[in-house]
Order: sequence, then structure tokens, then C-alpha cells
Amino acid sequence: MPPLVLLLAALHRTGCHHLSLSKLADEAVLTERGILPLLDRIEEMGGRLEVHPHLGCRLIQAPDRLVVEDLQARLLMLADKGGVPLVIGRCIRTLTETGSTNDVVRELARNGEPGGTVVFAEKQTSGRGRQGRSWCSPKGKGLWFSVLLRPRLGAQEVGRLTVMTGVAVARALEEASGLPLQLKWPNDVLCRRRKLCGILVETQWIANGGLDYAVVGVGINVNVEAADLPGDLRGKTTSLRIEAGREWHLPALVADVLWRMEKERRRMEGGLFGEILSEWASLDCTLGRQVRLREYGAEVRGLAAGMDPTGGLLIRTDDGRMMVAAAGEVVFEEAAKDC
Amino acid sequence: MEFKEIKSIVELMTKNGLTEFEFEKDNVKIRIKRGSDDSAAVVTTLSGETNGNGTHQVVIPVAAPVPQLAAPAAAPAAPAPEAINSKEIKAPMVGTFYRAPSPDSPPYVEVGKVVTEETVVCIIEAMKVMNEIKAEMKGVITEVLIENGKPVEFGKPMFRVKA
Repeated sequence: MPPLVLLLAALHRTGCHHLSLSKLADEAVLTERGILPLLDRIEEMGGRLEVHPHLGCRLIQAPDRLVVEDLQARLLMLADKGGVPLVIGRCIRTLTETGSTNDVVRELARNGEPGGTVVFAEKQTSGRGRQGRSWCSPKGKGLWFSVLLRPRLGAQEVGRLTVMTGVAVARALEEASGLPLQLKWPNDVLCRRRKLCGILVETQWIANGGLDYAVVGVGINVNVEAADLPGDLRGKTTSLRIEAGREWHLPALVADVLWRMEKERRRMEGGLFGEILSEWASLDCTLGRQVRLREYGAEVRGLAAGMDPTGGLLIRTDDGRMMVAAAGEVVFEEAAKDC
Repeated sequence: MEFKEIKSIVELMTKNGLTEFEFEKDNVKIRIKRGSDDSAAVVTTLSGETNGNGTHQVVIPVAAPVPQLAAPAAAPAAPAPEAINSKEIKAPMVGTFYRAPSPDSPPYVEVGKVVTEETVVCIIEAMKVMNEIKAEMKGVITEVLIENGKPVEFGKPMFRVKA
């Protein structure tokens, strides 16, 4: 781990307390003289340090832009407790502006990038959702990122990636913000009925039928204001800022979300997808409700009865059949209760 | 019988779409059964020279069909010419079939398009996961068998390809 990351991790860990320069130097595996240029770097990143002649040093303001070393330090602080090496966040890249982070990650994947790399953009000029729908990603107001994964999943199990990501994002944001969040099958994170986060998973299959890679694209509206949203999205879309009425510190949220995704990934790949499904059930606002499934131009009405082991939605149709919705669009019949 | 000879028989079988082959000479009996997926062939040899059951089973992985091979005379009762060279790209999963990345984009492939193993031919959407599917074979698309936006079942043919 680079000394700058270790130094930042030590400063984040001590919080508002001071840490002596010799202790900081130990943490970064450097000499006291060696850490001085790194302290300058932290200020260049936008952090503010206070150096006290007797007490030592502390971070009075963390960088509020997404800076790779700072994100790695925050993630290290959370992940260190377990001692298992990280996959998600193993490598982080940040871009000022790009078309779509999913496209950037796909290009990396084609060139052999190992799983776990995460790419953030401050702004996406052509962020997208399903079937080419656009996703509004204004500069510096949200977390627009994509994660490269190379899990061993069968063709009937890819939906697990959507479920895993939804649970991770909802749980991380709920814990960080205290807001009531819910999941709508299969890929929406909602706050008070409005969409807070979109997830778009794109995969590529290799010639013998196995999964080559999956790109998990996530867009979280953090500090987006109502005025930033196109007219047709107001009322359907929201942000942490709109719901909580205050600004949020992006780098802290990044660490919470990535670490939670990593934990869910470990569960999924460790054969514990059932646990993720139980978490889903506790966040879900789809089950037990009358739904219409628009599939292939036809409509089926029924009750959202549960989820099958791959994450597919089980619908008990009005004529008594049980079917699994693997694709298609689920529409709620009745007015939403809590979400 | 040499491994090389068996291999060329398997290649001939693959090329001509045969799934079973049996041959007997000088107390040596050979039977070859090929899976329909062209991925491997099971060779059973029954040799009269060995004691006991004298049965050996070998699985030979078969690469893509060999384009040209001498001695076509060895192929008995060849099926109709179309069946020989025509293959299908099948759906690896259940979902919705899309011919293009978005409604405004041109399709990945049209009839007449030359594809290789690496060419992406369509997307199958399952649980909002967009799965890009590669051709997995070399050839020319001769027919698109599923309409855009329609469901596909596992193993359903989506495209016909001429090798």
C-alpha cells in the first residue's frame, strides 16, 4: 500500500484527535522528514491539516472530491478489520468526465483488467440505463461509477449481481443517512417511492458459454437538487439531499458503498446468496402486492409472492398459476403503501 | 489404429454432421460416438488382442469444424448440403432477445454479415442484466430466427449461420 494511503488511513482513523508526527511516520512506514511532502499532497487534494507543535497532526477537513488515495485509505480503514484482501476497490480510478463509466470499464475488461476495479466519473455526458435510456449525472453531485467483476456464475444466475448490488447500496445508504430506503424488484433503490439509485449490469459471455466479465454500473443521486433534474424525472426521482435536506460528503459514502458491495460479493461467491435474499426481503416493497408484469407485449396480473433462489420474482397469477418473471417490467397495481 | 487416424475420422464426422461411426478389421473394433454439440467425441476401442474386457474410452476434444480435408469419399450418405454447413447460435439463458444495444441503434448483425467467435450478435436481457452474446462460431448469418423484443428460452436457436 502506498505511504500516502497509509498516512491518510491513520489520519481518518484518529478522527478529531492529534497524532504525533513520529506515530504518523510509523504508520506510513517512513521517516518523520519523509512524511512532510505527503502532508503537502493531502492539502493539495483539498484536505486541511492542523499541525500542533506538541500534540502532532490531525485532519480538520477531509478532501471532498473523489481522490484515489483518499478513497483507498477510507476503504482500507473499513476493510482492515477483516484482514481478507479486497476484490472490489482493489484498484480505483477517477475521471473528471466521461461518456459512461460502464463503457470505460468494458474497455478495461477487454484488455484483461482483473476483477474488482472501480471507475468513478465526476460527470457522465451519456450515462445510460436499460435499452439506451439516459441517466442524468450532473458534475460532482452523485456517485457515478462502475465495478468490474469476474465471478463464476452460470447463465441462469446473472440476476444475482443485480440483487447483490441493490442490497449493498440500500443497506450502505440507509446506515449512512438514516433515511428509510426500499428495494423494488429487480434493480431500483427507492426513498419514499422515488428512485434514488439506478443499477445497470452488463455482461459478456465467452465462447464456451461461461461468463467472461460483468460490469455493474451504479448511479446514486447524492447532492442532486430538484433543479438539476429534467422536468419529466421530477416526482419520480430523488436524491439524498432532497430527502434529508442537507449536503453529503461523497468520499465517505463511496467507502461505505464499496465496502458493503465487497461484503455482499463475498457472501454471493461464498455460496451464501440465500442470506442476501433474506436481506432483500427486509428491504423489499414489491412482495405481497398486486402487480402487472408487462412481458413481451402481453400483460399478466397477479400477486408478487416471493423470490426464487436466483433472484427471479415469483408471481401468483390471477388464474392461480405460479410463474417466474425473469425479464419484463413490473408495475404496481395499487397505490404504493410505504415506498 | 493410430490416434491420428481416429482424429481424422472424428473430423470427417464433425464436418459431415455424423454422430456415430463403427469399424471392424483384424480383430479390432472401433466405435465413435460424437455429442451433438461438437465439443467432444467418445471413442471406444474393443481390441481382440487384449484379455479382460479390453475396452478403452477416450474423449477427444474437437476444435471448430475442419474446413478442408482430403478423402471426401470416406463420407457415406451425406445429408442434404444445407444441413452440412448450417449451424445455429442458441440462447444460453432465458430472457428477452434484443438485436441492438438500444432501440435507436442499428442491429449487431444482419443477414449476410460475416461473424467470428468474438462477434457480438445480440443481447439477452434477464432481470435487467444486459447479456451480450457472442457468435461462438465462424460463418455468415443466413437467418434471424427471433423477433426483436421477444422471449427466448434456454437452448432456443436465435440465428442460423452458414459455416
